[in-house]
Amino acid sequence: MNGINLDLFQFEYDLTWMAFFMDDRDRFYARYGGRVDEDAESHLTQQSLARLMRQVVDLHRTRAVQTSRYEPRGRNLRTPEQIPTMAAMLRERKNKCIHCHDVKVAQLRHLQNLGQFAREQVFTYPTPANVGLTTDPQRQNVVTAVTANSPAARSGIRAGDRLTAADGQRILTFGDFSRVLEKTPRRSRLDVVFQRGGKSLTGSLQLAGNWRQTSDPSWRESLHVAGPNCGLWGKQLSAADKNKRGIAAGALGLKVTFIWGAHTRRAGLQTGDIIVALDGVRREMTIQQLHSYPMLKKDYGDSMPIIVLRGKRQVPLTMRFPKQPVD
Amino acid sequence: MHLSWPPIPTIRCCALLLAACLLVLGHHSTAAEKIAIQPIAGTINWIYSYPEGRQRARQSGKPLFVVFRCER
Repeated sequence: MNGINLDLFQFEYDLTWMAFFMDDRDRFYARYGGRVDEDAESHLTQQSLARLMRQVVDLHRTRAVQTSRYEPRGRNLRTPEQIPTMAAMLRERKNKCIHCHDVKVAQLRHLQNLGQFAREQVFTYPTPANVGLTTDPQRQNVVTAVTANSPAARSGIRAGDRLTAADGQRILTFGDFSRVLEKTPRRSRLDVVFQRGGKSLTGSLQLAGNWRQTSDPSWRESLHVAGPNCGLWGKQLSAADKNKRGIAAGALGLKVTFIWGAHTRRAGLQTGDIIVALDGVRREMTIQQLHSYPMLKKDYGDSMPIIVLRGKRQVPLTMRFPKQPVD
Repeated sequence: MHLSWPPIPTIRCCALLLAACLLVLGHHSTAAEKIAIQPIAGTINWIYSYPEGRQRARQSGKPLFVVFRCER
């Protein structure tokens, strides 16, 4: 991302892959990319990309670029290097390459330094699922399911409908809709147009509350800015290993493989311990989910009970997080 | 997300984008030695500079397909 104009290329910087279709005047035809929590490649398919390429070629013939208020103008250059916290992040690195997620981390740290950070700012670029829509990975503006009692369900959208516009922005892809949702205020009404059986229909998504948040943001690299971490690495026990140790299937069983946090050592955790409860939670977690738990639910200076299985003994421990972030 | 560092006026935009281009492509830049691009092998000739890609799009009359990918 070195030198890239962030005013122009605005996207979910936590992603590992994102694409844009543009003309030679910095204007956009469509955005392609994005993911759901459960799957990094949920909406990246050869079929959908080829389909979109054909659509873009048609749009390009008449220069039918996006013109709504959701489009960045790119008139000012804002590079990652200009983010005040970026220099400190790069100082320790041999390779000065700025990754996409570095941009978001630097932005969030800057907001922290200004005292303007809130955890919900980690949840950028909400997906159609955030408003109750499941969309087809191949024809990405086609709705395959609508979550009951969601804003989408209340708007009248049904499975099989094809979403064509949201507040004046053309929707061809998952990424197009995500762009609109990113710019939609937390409490707002988002007007949508959709096709059903050859007819064009309209509806409104009434948005309020914490609709931008998702249940498992553990894939987000930027999440570590949000709160303290456990200071360890580990791996999930196999079903056979769990069974051998008397841990139920579906229950937490993470073997500690490496400890880097001073607070983790002070808590008494040891390599080889098996974490079976975290803050009273005993459900199965990946190591990323284990890390995201305190990042989302604890503050620096807080304490968190942990139970580990050491040999045949269950050992209760207390992890006291540092009072401030430790680099 | 609200970003509050000061914008640079448009007039400097080209220079900085060109600088960015040189960082990516440049054989004379120290920074370029640190930021090694990992070219993708295959039948597509990817262009690793946005200004150059835009110029090529202008000459050919074709749209641009701009990809950001993680190289880790």
